[in-house]
Amino acid sequence: MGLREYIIKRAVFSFILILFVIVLNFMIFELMPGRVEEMFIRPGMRREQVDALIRLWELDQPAWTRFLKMVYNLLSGNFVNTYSYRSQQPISIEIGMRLLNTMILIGTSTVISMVLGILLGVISAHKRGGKLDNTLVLMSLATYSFPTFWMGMLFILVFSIQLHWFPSAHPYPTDWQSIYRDVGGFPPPAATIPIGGISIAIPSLTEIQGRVYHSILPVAVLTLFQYGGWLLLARASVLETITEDYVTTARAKGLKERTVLLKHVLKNASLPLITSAALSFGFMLSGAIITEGVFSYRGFGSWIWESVQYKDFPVLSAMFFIIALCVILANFLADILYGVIDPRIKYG
Amino acid sequence: MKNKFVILSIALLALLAISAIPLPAQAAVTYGPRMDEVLIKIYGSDTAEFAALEAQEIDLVDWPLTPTEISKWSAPPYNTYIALDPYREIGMWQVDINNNLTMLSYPNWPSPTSYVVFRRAIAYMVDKPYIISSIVGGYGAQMETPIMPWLRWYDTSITPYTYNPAAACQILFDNGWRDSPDPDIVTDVKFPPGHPLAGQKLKDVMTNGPSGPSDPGLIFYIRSDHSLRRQAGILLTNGDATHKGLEAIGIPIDLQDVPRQVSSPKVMFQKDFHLYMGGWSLSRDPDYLYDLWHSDQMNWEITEFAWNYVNINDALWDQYTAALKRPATLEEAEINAKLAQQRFVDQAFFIPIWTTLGYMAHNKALHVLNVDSYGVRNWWNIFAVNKPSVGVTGGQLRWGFMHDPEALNVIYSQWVWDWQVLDKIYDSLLAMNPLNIAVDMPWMASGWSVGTWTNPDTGQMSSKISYTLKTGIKWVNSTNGAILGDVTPEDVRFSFQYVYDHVGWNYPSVADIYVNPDGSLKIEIVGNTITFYESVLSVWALHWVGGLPIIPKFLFQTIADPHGYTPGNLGIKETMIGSGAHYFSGYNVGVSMLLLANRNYFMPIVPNTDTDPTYIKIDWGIFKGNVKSGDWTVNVLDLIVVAGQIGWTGPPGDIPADINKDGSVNVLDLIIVATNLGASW
Repeated sequence: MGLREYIIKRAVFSFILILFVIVLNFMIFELMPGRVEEMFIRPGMRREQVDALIRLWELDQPAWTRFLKMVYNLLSGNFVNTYSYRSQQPISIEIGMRLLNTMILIGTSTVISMVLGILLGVISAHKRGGKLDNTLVLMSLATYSFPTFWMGMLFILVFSIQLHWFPSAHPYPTDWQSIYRDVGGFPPPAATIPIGGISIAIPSLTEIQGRVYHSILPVAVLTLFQYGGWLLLARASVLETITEDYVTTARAKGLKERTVLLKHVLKNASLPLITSAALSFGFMLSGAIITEGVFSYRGFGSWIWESVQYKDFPVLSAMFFIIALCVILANFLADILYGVIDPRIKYG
Repeated sequence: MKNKFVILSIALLALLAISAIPLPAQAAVTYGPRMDEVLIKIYGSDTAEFAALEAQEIDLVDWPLTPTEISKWSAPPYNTYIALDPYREIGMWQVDINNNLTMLSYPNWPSPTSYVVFRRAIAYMVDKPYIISSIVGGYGAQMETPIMPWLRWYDTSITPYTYNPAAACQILFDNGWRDSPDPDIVTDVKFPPGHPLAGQKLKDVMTNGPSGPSDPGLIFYIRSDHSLRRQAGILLTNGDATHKGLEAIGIPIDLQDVPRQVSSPKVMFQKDFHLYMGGWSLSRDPDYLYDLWHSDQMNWEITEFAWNYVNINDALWDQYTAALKRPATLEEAEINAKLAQQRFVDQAFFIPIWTTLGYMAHNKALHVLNVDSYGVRNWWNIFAVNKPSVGVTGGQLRWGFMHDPEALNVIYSQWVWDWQVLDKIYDSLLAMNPLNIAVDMPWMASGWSVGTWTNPDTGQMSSKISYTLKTGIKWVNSTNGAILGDVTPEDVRFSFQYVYDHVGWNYPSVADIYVNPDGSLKIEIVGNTITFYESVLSVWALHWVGGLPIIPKFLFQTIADPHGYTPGNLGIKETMIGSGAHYFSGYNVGVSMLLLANRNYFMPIVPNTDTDPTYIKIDWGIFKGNVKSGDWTVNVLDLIVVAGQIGWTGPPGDIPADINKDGSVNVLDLIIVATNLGASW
């Protein structure tokens, strides 16, 4: 079987898996005990208010109608007509507001921790048994073991309260609300590029600076928490590879040690790293519940947490679907990358 | 009589002489709040918000501090820039008891908590001083009834329940619930004679609770998301080294340690509980005893969701609270409030434990106005707060919020954070004097009068309240605070009718207004005076009417269904059009919200409370009849009003011209006003 057939086969399987996720997603929340509207009713609320909410959430519709609508909405990415139980607003509004925050926080920390962890892992494996190796492993285990909420509070205490270097909360400066009050509370974009009928806004330097400044502490916490895992994984993978005959051969050929490590060792040790990276990016949109909470960082993680608390099923359903979709797509890409990186792997 | 005439003549002559002296020209007046901006910063938790105050990223918090913060911020370095603001709450934390005969999980036989003796036994098991000292850190005041102990309505003669397991066991033994009166003898509580399950142990029968047969007993919801309530509930259930809990005296408990989102439907909707660690925000008027716990409130309107979820259904209690809701005088209200409390304690309907007595906090760069019972998060403070380093006016207040509002809907919003925003946008006719919350102040109204009329349906004398609307109050937009038009008496009438027609959250404000045969409320307008005809007689009617937020008719008459996040789910800026001290500028959900000072507001900025002790006389503003000019100077008009009311008598403080509040308007009041001529604020 060639690459083309393999991709088609995997795509079909992935699509079936997505349908399965949708069905499961619907059934889980449908089978939950209790009446949803009870969560949102308070003393004094009157019948007509309750009925209005039930109509808004379409809980008066039969299950199959809601299921079909959900399938359509999820497959078409249409969250405009899906209303949050809690805010009574279309989910699309909240997704739009939180997506960028989460991508900045989790994306940045994942990339930094991955690069840092793999690099240090390779060095650690290369210097195995030495002081540097022991120090790096010990450090990574330590930061990997610290609870993120504890690290977050420590960072706030030191860098926000004591030193006033960084803000303690929020994904961007709250002052924007006042400074840019006439343009929606955000710095105007540097430019707007129309692409296929959609306008893509290029953020201004002010916006980038503001977001980076506010993301430093939470990104640092998540990076410290995550890099240790990458370091240990990379170290273990490299250690398995570094004693292979072809590495010895490469060295015997007189190649530089850096070339041996990066081209011959790391490349062959990268398969488990790719799987891990795919899963990391797949779960990227699930956010970081605890870190987002500590830093009042409004991302997907805090949204999931709030929605679990409030039994906000439309939000949870949408979020679970998005996360599942990302994981399935990331794995799909990883499967294809295997073959590209390691020619020994054959599709079939 | 002759002396009085001479004194009056002298006073009037003096008045004429003074009035001939030209008053100094008024300086330019700034209207609205002192500070230009209120930047609300939203945090997901009190921990994050308090950290932000420590980091000097906010100036003011919106929530009482925990004992940890109080202790920490009382010492260096925090006390160099953080000030603690004493706060005593009008509210309570209590053990709610389901008084209903049956409940969902046990529908076929009377619930133990429907027995008064059983409730009394539970009341004897709550050690309030110990809870306050060990759990609340001492930052609480003990509660015996749902009335604040420092208010006039509180009955000091009641005999409270004190922690006494022996008394609890004795009462259970005397009534057949327990085999021994000795609390040290371990015995399971059983159903008493006369009960369909007489003789059977509670723990053998009560297995239908959330935990099922594995943990049978009374269903007791505590709140996993509220540390203090949770700890108090666990103490009551399990006791500790020095205290017996309910389990120890043989009362089995099925403890449900769950968040509000789980407990609220079970307790308040299904009412499928025996005990619940509850909490209430209350008010300065005691008529909430009726609003919350009269049997009429068991199934309010047509939903099963009701204020009176503890299902108090007692004829005497109903009689007293109904009389308290509709008293002709304050004295009558006081008598019935006290009778109701005596019945409350006798029947142990539920068990109030404590009210918060603690602190909020602000950055010392601020000059705040802390209002008794409301703290620094009160409306007045946001109106009067300033940063002396910036000046009397101007600058930005950075205010921490623990939560986003759940809705910005002036018709249906219910949550405290919703109203922290909405009450800045919408005003009402009446306000409360910040230095004495028992004293009313006219606000959108220039004054009021209270009278009676005969309800044609009942033939009973009923309340008639007239408010005179000030002129010059403007509706402003949410873009730049520009004037959209005048607030008119018709807007006022419309506001009441709209809330009545749509059964809004403030429905109690309009519920007792007489309804004409055509379905309209009996509200008459003559000039700027709006008269409300109540269908009952009540001294509280002034507050019912005075507290309703006034909404613009030109906007809301276009909104047929005001349900939604905003009325009719329109844009926030489209619907947040009010006449309040601030106007709504923008909102980044979960991050920040901006309110801007309404410089077209009808009231000038408040004076410096430190340097002007006459601030409390802010209600003198009514003497001028119209303060839209912002002229709050004491002048000859004030003298004329006081002189014209000489001889009037009434309860101290009831007559505005009774300046020294000695119960009558006399020459002393005239002298006070004369000696303050020219004073302004």
